[in-house]
Formats: sequence, structure tokens, C-alpha cells
Amino acid sequence: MKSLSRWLIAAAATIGSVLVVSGTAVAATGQSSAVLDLSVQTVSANGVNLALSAQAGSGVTGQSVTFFVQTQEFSSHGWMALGTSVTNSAGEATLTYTPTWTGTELFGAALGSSDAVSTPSVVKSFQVLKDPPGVPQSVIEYARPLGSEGGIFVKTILSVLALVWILLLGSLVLVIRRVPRLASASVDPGQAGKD
Amino acid sequence: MKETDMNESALLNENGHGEAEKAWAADVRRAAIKPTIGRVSVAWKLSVTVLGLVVLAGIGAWIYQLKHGLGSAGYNDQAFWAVYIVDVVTFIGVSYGGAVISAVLRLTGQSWRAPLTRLAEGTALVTVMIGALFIFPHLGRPERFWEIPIYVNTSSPLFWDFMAISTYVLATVIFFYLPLVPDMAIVNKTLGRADRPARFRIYKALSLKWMGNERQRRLLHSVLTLISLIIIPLAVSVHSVLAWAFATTSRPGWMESVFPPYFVIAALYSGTALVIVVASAFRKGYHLERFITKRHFIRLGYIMAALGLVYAYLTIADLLSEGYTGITSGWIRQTIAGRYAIPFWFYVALGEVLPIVLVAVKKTRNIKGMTVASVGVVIALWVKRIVIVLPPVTQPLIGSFWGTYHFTWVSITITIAGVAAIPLGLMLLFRFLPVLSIDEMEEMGELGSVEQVSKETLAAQKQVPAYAYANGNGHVNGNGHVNGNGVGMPEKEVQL
Repeated sequence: MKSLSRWLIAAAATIGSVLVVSGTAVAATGQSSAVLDLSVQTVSANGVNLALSAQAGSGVTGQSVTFFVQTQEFSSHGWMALGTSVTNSAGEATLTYTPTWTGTELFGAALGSSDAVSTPSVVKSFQVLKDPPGVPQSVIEYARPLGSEGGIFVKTILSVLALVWILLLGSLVLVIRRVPRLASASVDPGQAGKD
Repeated sequence: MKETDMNESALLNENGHGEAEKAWAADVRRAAIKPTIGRVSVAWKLSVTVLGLVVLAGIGAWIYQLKHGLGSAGYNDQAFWAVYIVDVVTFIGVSYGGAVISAVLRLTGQSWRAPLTRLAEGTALVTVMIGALFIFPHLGRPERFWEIPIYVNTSSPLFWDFMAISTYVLATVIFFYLPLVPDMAIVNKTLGRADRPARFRIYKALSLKWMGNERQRRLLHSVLTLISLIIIPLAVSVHSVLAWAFATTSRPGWMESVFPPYFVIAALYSGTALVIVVASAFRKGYHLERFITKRHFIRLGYIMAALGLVYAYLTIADLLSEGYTGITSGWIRQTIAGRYAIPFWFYVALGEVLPIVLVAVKKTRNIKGMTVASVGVVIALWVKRIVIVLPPVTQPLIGSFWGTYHFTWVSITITIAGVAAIPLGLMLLFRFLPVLSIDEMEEMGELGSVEQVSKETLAAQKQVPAYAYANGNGHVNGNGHVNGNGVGMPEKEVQL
């Protein structure tokens, strides 16, 4: 009898555990099923700082939202966590971010802390137009060699190359078009001009 | 070549020049045109067949490599660049020599260049084509080659290689064609419409109705001067870009500022040597002894020796600076006293010591000596490029285990096919086009070519050609001026 009661207690404990886990899972599902809407906009007067706003819907208050940027340098999966913010009473979480280079950037957000999520559930593309002040120029050049002086150098070289092609083909066309027209004197080939 | 029924009257220049010049012009035209429109000899057919088979074997080996991968050519994780990039650099390098020699001599008005220009420009044309083709066996996925111009990546040295080489090929083709225009008119007239109508039409089209009048000459001369001015920096840029493909790779032994001039000088050096080899072979095979003489070989030999000394200097500069610091100099030890010591010292012996000795010693300063030196330089510079590529590429970046590269029948066959393609290409080219620059030689007059029949030649012939007498007696050219290179001087005053 004693052993039966122990068995029943153990069985009840196991069922209870399963229920708890199930409840957590449902909660987790409930969190991730909330539809996030991500928006990116410039907030500073000099056009450098960005505000990443994730709208989780009214009623989702006090939930952590992690924001990401896609990068190749620091993360094997391409998404680097920028930081975490908590949704307010309107269900909105906001993070201010200063991008480190110009060009098209991919931003993302996901419900959950940075320890819990590693990839975004919503992604937004944004064109960063201005370099931030204080970032060493060499860093920018290293990241985007064609973004600044490198681009001018490349364009110059390509222009010189185009000029060479124009000169070469132009010379050939000039000879092909002009030499027959200049063949007016009826003289022996290869000799006339020497006399 | 056998004698053919050429229009003998067309060979003569009936434009009122003296008998000596007529005889000279006829000789030039006969020698230049005979291989083009005459019947081919058995030796020519045999040579073309053998060379063609070697080239076909190379194509077969490449197909095998496509099927089995670059590993079949000896490539592996450590030796990711090896023999084919050496072939690319070598073939494009020797092309550079031919083009630049012709361009420089043209710009500086060297009249002695005339018998050599067609051969030099032809060599440049053929070798640059072969060198460009060698990029394909070098690529692991050659079917993606078209992506280079389509998906432009200006950060990639490969893109700039593509741009530089394609521009250089275009310049070489134009540089070869333009001096050919007057000769096409001459060949066209010599051939006659009835003999070979198809060829006649092609030559006629290529001759651009050339009549040789003053305005046509002035135009062609101006354009050729412009192309000569373009082709020299272009050739420098091509080899610099090839060098940067190495120098922008982060490997000890490659990432060096000396590489661009190092490659440019190597190209000029080996290119000059190949021009000598080609001139020697065609002189003998096409019976051009009267036009390409000892003087040409010795002058080219001087240029080659000077370039060899510059190249030796750059080699020392390359090894000394990095070897002295000793930070990443494992490849230097391997080069000088390790596994690559034999090919390195082979280069020193054959590519530096031998040519300089042969040029310096008066007894060996002759056609045979210069030819031997040039053959040595061409082979030694290929070996030297192997030494430039393999030690740095097989040096371990982590740990101490050196990589290895072993030649395989595939890489050897493809390389030999490339070598065989040079004489094959030239023989086929000069089967359809004159081997000498006829118009230019006639314009330059005898001194451009005749070594003003040396005493030995005179003794051998036991009779002096009319034009030799004419030259020796201060003859003035038909165009009314004395040539700038000593024409009109007695033979003994023409110093080598």
C-alpha cells in the first residue's frame, strides 16, 4: 500500500510537471504569436541617430523586445543584437541606434530578451544616408572601400580605361574610314609617298 | 618554301628608284611574300602537324582536368596557385616584350628595327592570346568566367586583370594590323585576282585601298605613333595589375611593394629574349639571313642584358629586405637553400650569369651566342616565376608543415601545349601575312636591314650586291634624305 501511494504521488508529480511545462509553452507561443510591426526613422537633427520602434499591439505591456542589425563581421548567422527594450502601455518598444556606416541596412526585432532570441521575427530595410561623427574615417573605408575616396579612385581608373578604349577603337575606325578616302592618287602601292 | 609563280613584275618597285633600290625592294618583297603565297614545304607541313598534335594533346588534358578537377593538375589546399598562373604571367610577359620593343623602337625612330617589327608584333599578338587562354585552366570553375564582366566587383584583382588584359589584347591587335595595311596592298597586287580569289578579296579589304600617297602615310604614321604611345603604359599597367593580384594577397613573399616593377622588368626581359629566339628561328627557317643580321641580334642582346641586370637587382632587393627582417622569411630559406634551391640557382645560372657572359664576351657576341642566351632566359624566367609562386603559397601560416606541389602529366601537357602554340600560331599567321614589314623596310632603306653586308658575308658570297656598294659609297635614299641611323656611311663605320 505504501509503495502504491508513493507510486501515485510520483505519477501525480510527473503529470503536474507536464502541465507546468505545457503552460509555459502556451505562454511562449502566445508571446511569439504577437504580431510585431517594426519601423525605422531618423530622429536626430543631423540625420545620424535612428529610432527603431517595435509595435507589439495594445495590451502587450512590459514585454522585452530585442532589436538586431544584419552584419557579417561579428556573428555567424548574420544578425547582431543591438539591445533590448520593454514595451510600454501602448505596446511599443523603442531603441535609439547610431549606425556605423552608410548604405542599405537590414534591421530586425523579436519579442524576448537577447538571451532568449537570436534572430528577428520581423525585418525592415532602411537606407542610412549619413556617416556618424566621430567614427574614424579608416573604419568606414575598411567596411565600405567604395563608399568614399575609394569610389573616386575606381571611377577615375575606369574613366581612363574608357578613354584608352575610345582612343584605340577611334584610331582604328579613323584609319578604316579615312585611308580609302585618301586613296585618290593613282600610284604604285607602297611607293608613292616616298617620292 | 618552294619557288612559286609569283608576279615578278609586282615584286619590283618601278617608281623611278635606282637599280640598287629596285633590287633591294624586290629582294624584300620576295622574301616576305614567298612564305605567304608560295607552296608550303614538307618541313612546314610536318612542323605544323606535330605542333598541332601537341596543342590538341593540351586541349585533351584540359578536358580531363575539367572532368577530374584541379587536383589532377597537382593543385591542393596549400598549393592553390601553381603552374597555370605562372604560365599566364609568362605568356603575357613575353608578349609585352614584343610589343614594347616594337613601340619603343618605332617612337625613337630606330631604322634598324624594320625587319624585326613584324616578327615582334606577331609574337606579341600570338603570345598574349595564349596567355589570356591560360586563365581558363587556372580557374576552378571556368564556366563562371562570364560573371567577371557581368557581376562587377571592383574590389577584386581578378576584375582588373580582366580589364587590363582585354584592353591590352585590343591594343595588340590594332598595333599588329595598322602597319600591315600597306603590305596588304603589296601582297594583293603580287597575288593577282586569278590565283586565289578568296584571299585576294580578303587582302583587298584589309589593304583599305592603300595607294601609298603622302596623306595616307601621314595619317597612318600619326595613328601608329599614338598607338605606340598608348601601348607602352598599357603594357606596364597589365603587368602591374598581374603583380597586384599577388601583392594584394596577404601571404609572405607576395605582399610586397616591389612586385609591380619586378613583374614589368621580368616581362620585358623574357619578352626581349623571346623576340631574339623567334627572330633566330624565322631567320633560319624563312631564309631571312640577308635582312635580319648579326647587328640586330647584338643590339637586342644588349637590351636583354641591361634588363637582366635590372631584374637581378630587383631580385636581390626583394630577397634582402624581407630576409633581413626575418619575420616571415621562411620562404626565402626554402628558396635559397631549401626545397626550391635547385630551381632558384638554375635561374641564377641560366637567366642571369649565362646571358651576361655571352653578351660581355666578344667571341660569343654573335647570332648563336645571343640565341643560346635568349633560350636560357626564356626557360629560366619561367622557372623563376615558379619560384616566386610556390614557396610563398606553400609556406604555412599556422604551424610548421609546408605544403607541397607536384607536377602532373595534366599540368605538364597543358604547359607544353602552350609553348607549342607559339611557333604554331606564328607559322600559321605568317602563312597568310608577310613575315617582314615590307613597306617599312622599303621606307627605311637598306640600312634598316642590311648589316651592310659584313666582310665575312662578302667573302662568302664572293660578290658584292649592288645595294651594298651603293650604301658604302654614301648612297642617299630614294626619298631624298639620308637615313638617321648611319645610312650612307661606309660599312666599316657602322659600329655594333
